[in-house]
Amino acid sequence: MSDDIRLDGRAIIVTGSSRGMGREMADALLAAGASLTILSPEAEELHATREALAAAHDGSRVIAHVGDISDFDACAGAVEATRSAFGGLDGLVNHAGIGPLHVAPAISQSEHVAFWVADPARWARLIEVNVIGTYFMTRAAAPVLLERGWGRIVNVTTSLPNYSRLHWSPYGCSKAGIESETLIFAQDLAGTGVTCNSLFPGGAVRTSFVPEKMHANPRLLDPDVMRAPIVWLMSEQSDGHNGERFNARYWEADAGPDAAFADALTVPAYRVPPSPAAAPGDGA
Amino acid sequence: MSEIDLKGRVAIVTGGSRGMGREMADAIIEAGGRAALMTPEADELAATVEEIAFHQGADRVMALPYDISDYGQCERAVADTIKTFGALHGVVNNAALGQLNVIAPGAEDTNCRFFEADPARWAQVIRVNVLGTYHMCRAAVVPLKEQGWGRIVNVTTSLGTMQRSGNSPYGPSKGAIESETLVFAADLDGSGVTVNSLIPGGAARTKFVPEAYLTTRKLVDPSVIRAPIVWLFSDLSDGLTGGRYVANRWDHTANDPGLAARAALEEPVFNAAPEGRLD
Repeated sequence: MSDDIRLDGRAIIVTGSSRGMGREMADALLAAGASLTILSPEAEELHATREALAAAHDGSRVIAHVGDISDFDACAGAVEATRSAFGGLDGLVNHAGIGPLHVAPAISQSEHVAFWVADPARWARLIEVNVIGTYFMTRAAAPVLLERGWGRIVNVTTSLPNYSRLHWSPYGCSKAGIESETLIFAQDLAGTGVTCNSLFPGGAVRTSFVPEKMHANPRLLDPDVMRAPIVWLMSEQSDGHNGERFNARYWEADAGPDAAFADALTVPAYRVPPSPAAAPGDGA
Repeated sequence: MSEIDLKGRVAIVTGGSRGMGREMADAIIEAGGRAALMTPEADELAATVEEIAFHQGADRVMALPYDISDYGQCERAVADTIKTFGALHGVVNNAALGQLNVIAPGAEDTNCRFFEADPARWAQVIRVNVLGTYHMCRAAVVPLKEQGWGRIVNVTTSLGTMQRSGNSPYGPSKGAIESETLVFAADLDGSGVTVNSLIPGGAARTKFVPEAYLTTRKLVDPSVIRAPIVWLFSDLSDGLTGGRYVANRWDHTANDPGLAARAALEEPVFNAAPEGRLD
């Protein structure tokens, strides 16, 4: 583990942190000394998680903010709550999202379905939360990070095959949108000291995003795969890395904090255009 | 492409009242097909439909004054089309909001840094583009599957727009639509219904770009989209799905439309490389 990296004095928001990978990342960041705002619309679970995290770490370093990232005011509220609790904001982990099992006509089906089988309202809701919510949270946090001249934004995405895989709409499509957000936001932020990168676990993870009946499969990743990479990405160690994409499962903890990322750094989600001059972003 | 006959074919073209949508509707109708033009801009729609009806006949064109961001209106559009024309063979998902929706009026280019955009306007682009495209696919797919033949064509954008500064939210919305194209194509594999992406190959001379571009940029003529859309709606493209065609690379010198299309076929926008360690 990158136990040597310390985040003392850093204030970070982790969305979707009441359970699963979000909770693991929150726990890892607290263990590294950061102060955290954990956020989820699921109030009861969020408060229970906050209690557990506060008991395991220094309770003064973690606050819970009940909110839905598809509501811009809730995002702005989380930023304000963080500033007033910790005196600033240094990082944002955009992890909250609706998973691929939540668009079937009956949620109890817990399976991937063809796009015409999915419930249109739930299909739309996933896009609202994942694509627009990630933007809203980033939009709310960016001015504070820019003012400070240093900041970290990490978008949690998924493996490339999920962007074109049978029955992977709208989840794969939403993450494809977020990968484009990462690349564009990173360049919008170039030279400001604020960076934006994508991080993905590198396989199916034992969380509520995967059908319960698969959880015994030993090939599933544990959510703790995200711990070391998120600590590094939120630290000064990752200065200069911007618009990149990291596969958590290839994190080489033994290589030490300076080199552990090297194996995890992987291809961008989008092919590189032939040449900037030949194919300018045309806005159309 | 006058050799391709679309007699009897019915297409819904969203955003069909002007620009590239109008070009595609005209091309389909001139090849013998029929087009239902869809846009919530009712006045412009009525004028366009009237003009096309005057030149091509009132039985070749119809108006769908509906908004793709509302699923119920998309269902109504499909029902209206089948009721009036007696059939539906495909949807051209061309309607979209562009960067003009988020940049300042009169701006000289379409660049907008994400932290300077109005959140509500940014979100609306995603809603119309990403959800609207899905809504139309969802509303049309059942009759297309039942007849065992159909076409879904999603108009997207150049690869650079999905990854260069200043291009959100338009770029991310089109990146998500590229994923819709690929996933929907997989979902529909073997059904006779194909799903492909089509791009002009650069900023086109339409109301989608700032007026300044008319003098400052080399723009693509929207008519480049005509030959590809006729081919895509014909039997000649049977079985070809999950592709991405760049209209201004269409090979008009090829004596076989399949070869003309192949020159315009581009790889998917997403990297195919393994996601292991980079060397």
